[in-house]
Amino acid sequence: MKKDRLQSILLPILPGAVILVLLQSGIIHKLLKIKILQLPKPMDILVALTENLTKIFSDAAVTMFPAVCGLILGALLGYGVALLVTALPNGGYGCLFIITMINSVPIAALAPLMNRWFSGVLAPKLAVIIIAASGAMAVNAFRGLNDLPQNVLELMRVNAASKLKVFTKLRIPNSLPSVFTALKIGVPAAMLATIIAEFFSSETAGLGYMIKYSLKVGNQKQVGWAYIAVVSVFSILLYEVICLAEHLLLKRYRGKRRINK
Amino acid sequence: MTENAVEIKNLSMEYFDKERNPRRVLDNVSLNIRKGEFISLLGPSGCGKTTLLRIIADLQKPTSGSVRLAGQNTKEARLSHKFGMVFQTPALLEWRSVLENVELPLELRKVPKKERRERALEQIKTVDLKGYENSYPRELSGGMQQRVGIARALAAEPEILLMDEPFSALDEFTKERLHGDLLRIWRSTNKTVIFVTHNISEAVYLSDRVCVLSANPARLAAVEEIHLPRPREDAVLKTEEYFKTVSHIREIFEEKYNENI
Ligand SMILES: Nc1ncnc2c1ncn2[C@@H]1O[C@H](COP(=O)(O)OP(=O)(O)OP(=O)(O)O)[C@@H](O)[C@H]1O
Ligand SMILES: [Mg+2]
Repeated sequence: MKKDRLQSILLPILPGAVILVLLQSGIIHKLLKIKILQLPKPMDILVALTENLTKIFSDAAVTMFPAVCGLILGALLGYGVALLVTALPNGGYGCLFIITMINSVPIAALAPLMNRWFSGVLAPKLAVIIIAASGAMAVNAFRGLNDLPQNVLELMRVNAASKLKVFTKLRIPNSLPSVFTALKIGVPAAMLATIIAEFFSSETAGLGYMIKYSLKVGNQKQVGWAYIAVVSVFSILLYEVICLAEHLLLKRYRGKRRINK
Repeated sequence: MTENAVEIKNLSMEYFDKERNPRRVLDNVSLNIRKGEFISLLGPSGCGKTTLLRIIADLQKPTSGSVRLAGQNTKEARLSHKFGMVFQTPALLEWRSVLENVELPLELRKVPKKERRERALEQIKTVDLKGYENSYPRELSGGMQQRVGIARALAAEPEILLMDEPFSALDEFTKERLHGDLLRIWRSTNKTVIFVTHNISEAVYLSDRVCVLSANPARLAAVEEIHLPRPREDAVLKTEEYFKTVSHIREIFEEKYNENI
């Protein structure tokens, strides 16, 4: 048991550590003919990170606040659309179609557009993130709300369940696993959307802005890389928070499906 | 004169195949089912038994003819919780425990929480699942899941119980025990039971009357009164009269089949 645990921790860490050592020693740079300027060594990035820690944290706040808000609002919007489409199958499919269409517009094209639609720095950023996060939710939640065995729907019908009761007792609980799937897909989408929105923003703070700015300036490359590392860390953290919530909230759904439908 | 629980009049059902040709599944079926009667619909697989039961349960509309339940049409009867149904497959909600699954129809009937729990626990005991109240369907065997479906239908205490081959997935031992339990519940609650099966001896053992359906399309080939004594004990299964009745019904089938050739 203990050995298994140790293995499951060491196995993913070990290759990462090896790569870091190879990077630090400059072997990878030589092999791939990359200049230090193009890819600073890990220790230099770490130093840049510690030296700029307060600034980095204030930038992280600027970025993560809209990222998290946008993810939540986008999820709510997506779920709302899925509910609507399920409740009004005749008028609703158009909605789902529109949201997936908007979702397929490249974020790099959307970001400047939203800057024109909305004023200020927060609103356009939020708009981009909401669009990016809502698509996966709408599609996944729609599946969760509708992917039901016929006989379970008929059970509700035989028991004279109202349309509302079919939602509260059947469709919505059935959609919860899909909601978490969508949130997990939404995290990288929302982070990507936030960073790109910041590339196009007039704001002069935030992780995205600082990546763009630092990588342009000659002697600031390692700072840019420090910001890139921070974005990854926050992205992973957010993902883990959602996994934890899923673990705590969806206990009932866990385990292999072994049900005769 | 006993009152009729179900009146089926000139019922016909046609499905349309891919080329849009009508295929007749039920042909002019007429049948009166007395209140408190235990009646079986007996016929080979695919003959239209489920179709007939689903029409009675207002899950589908017949092509022509009518069904009335205690003076109401099928929709009115369904909306006033006149009947309950045991499906051919368990139709359980996987995120609900056994207890919560059995409680579902009671929730939909707005039965107070305490009473709901008591009634559910009692029926769980009836189907011999005591100790599994808090298990999830995925943790049960197929036969146990089916018994949860039976307990769920019983807990709602409907006047009319529609059962679609409820025991065909069960082993002999469990089946025989549940036969006994079903008869005991039926006797003590004075329910009307419409029991679909393709098993001749099961139909004979349980029923007051057996309706023999012929296939392609299903017509009422014969309606046989079963004169075995009530209450029926296992001992009945060894009597000559039981064997005679079973072979008599078998002969009706053989006749029907020769006719079709
Ligand atoms: N929705 C449908 N569309 C077309 N044909 C159907 C449909 N439902 C059932 N049928 C046909 O009607 C016939 C009767 O089906 P039904 O399910 O009533 O049979 P059954 O007697 O319950 O059989 P089993 O004992 O196998 O459950 C079958 O031949 C089937 O192919
Ligand atoms: Mg059937």
